[in-house]
Amino acid sequence: MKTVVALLKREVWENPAFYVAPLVVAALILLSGIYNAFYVVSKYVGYERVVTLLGTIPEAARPVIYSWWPLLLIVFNLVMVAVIAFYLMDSLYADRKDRSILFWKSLPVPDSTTVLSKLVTALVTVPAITVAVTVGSALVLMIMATLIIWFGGGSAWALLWKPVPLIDGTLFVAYAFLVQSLWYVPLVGWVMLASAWARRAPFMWTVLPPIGLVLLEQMLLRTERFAELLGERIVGVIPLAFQVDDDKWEVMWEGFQSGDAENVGRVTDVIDPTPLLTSPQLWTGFVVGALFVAAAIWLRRYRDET
Amino acid sequence: MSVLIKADQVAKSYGSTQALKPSSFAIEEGRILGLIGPNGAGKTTALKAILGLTPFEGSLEVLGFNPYRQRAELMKDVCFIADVAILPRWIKVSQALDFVETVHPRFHREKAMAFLEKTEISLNKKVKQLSKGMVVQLHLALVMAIDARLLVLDEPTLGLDILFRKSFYESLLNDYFDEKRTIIITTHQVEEIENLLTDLMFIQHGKIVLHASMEAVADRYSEVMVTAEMREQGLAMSPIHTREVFGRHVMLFEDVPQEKLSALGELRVPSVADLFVGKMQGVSA
Repeated sequence: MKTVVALLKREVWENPAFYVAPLVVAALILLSGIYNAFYVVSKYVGYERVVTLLGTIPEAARPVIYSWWPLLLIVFNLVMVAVIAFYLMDSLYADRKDRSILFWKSLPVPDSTTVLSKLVTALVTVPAITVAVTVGSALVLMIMATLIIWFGGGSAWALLWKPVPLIDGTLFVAYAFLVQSLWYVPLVGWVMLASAWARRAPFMWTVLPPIGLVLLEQMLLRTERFAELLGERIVGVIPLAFQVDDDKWEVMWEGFQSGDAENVGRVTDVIDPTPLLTSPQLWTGFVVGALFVAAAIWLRRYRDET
Repeated sequence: MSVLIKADQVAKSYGSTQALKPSSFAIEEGRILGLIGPNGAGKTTALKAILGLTPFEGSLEVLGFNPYRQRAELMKDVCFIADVAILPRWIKVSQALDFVETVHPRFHREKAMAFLEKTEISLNKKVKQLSKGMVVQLHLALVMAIDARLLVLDEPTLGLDILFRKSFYESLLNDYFDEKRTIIITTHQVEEIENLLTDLMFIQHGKIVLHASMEAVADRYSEVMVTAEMREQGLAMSPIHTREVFGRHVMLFEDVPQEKLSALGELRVPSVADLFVGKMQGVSA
């Protein structure tokens, strides 16, 4: 266990991008927030107008105020996916290239533990860091909004902090990253395998075989099954993990119109993991991912090229 | 004395080239073995097989383990520095210490610290900020602080200046080595380690051409300075190698009784370097 913790820490030491990349994005978002809030708003809109506008939203509909949370989620998720992709391509390649693998192999750590620590890094560590930065940025934006409301003479509690459910929002963000990790297991496994396999250009080994397969299928069978499969694997988790069926919309809409806050519902209402957990795609994904990772472990352990 | 490494017909091929021809040998506990051979002779291949980094033919046991199958277990008792010291460039000195301390049950941090204190390496530097010599020093500090039964050093002092090399070998002998440990060293600077060694192994074209204790070497090999007039007599006793120094002939004899040789001139035990040159050229001639 101590060894596993040390290995996980090592990945963060080696890859400061895990936290630097989202923090840079957070800084940019906050800077533009500061610019908009304290320059654009004060010059062209006026703080009082903002408070008046917020006040016109019926109480039941005020949770709408934090509809920018999903936007943050999308931005940070894109950054994270890029960071993880580049991390994975190098994960079993960089130390072979600079030969520091000989140092790692001189320590009593099984190759399987090493490879699995990189898998856990991609599926757990980096998403956890990203969740923290996402929620942290949301909180800082909330504080900025508080200042605007105060400058406009409004009550930040009534207009902002009371209607915005912080815990639900955090749960939603964490859930979104969690299901994405589960869904991406085969993709992560594939990139690790490409990284363990490549003698050079792991990027090419990651990207070209799937593209080749898509083209081959198109030429030979004139079908696009594999391309569809890939597309589903990239975004297909959303309809499986979030239930936004018509009934629910109906109830929410009614609540919104009647001003009945109870009926508007909570953002966590759309969370429903059952279709995901019972979908064969998730479980075949696990099996395929496990095969890829097992192959990566085998290569790491038995291939000699030093 | 227990046998630490037992090789039976161990061989290794890369494609059609046989890097290591079928070799059998045993290395006992408490020895310091110098593994010496020209570049590409198969030294590194042999070491890699012992360290579990490469598959091989034949049977090889290191501390009772099959190194290739049981590398992780083996590394609890074996330490190595491969070729030029290769530490990851991004790691900080303090992180390297923390990491090895956590994953290695036999690492003693205070020993590593004592070693580092003698150098100019600061703990918050990254490896990429250190000079080449400092990286080697750091790697040596990490390895010497591990209480291992077998230490394998492949060109450990490459890139270090002579002062550090000397002090490294001194501390290797005084602070590290004892009868419970075994060390295998390869180096091109044979003169620097020859007083350290208890055993010698020469390897050429993937074949072990000599494996003997230093005492046995002193018994079996003699070097004689032969004057010009005694040259014919000397050659008659079939030296394995002859070279000329200031008009006199230095002849190297193998398995010729010393009382016979003493008639030719003054006898002495050949240096490892001279023996190496003699053996290599003799064999290939």
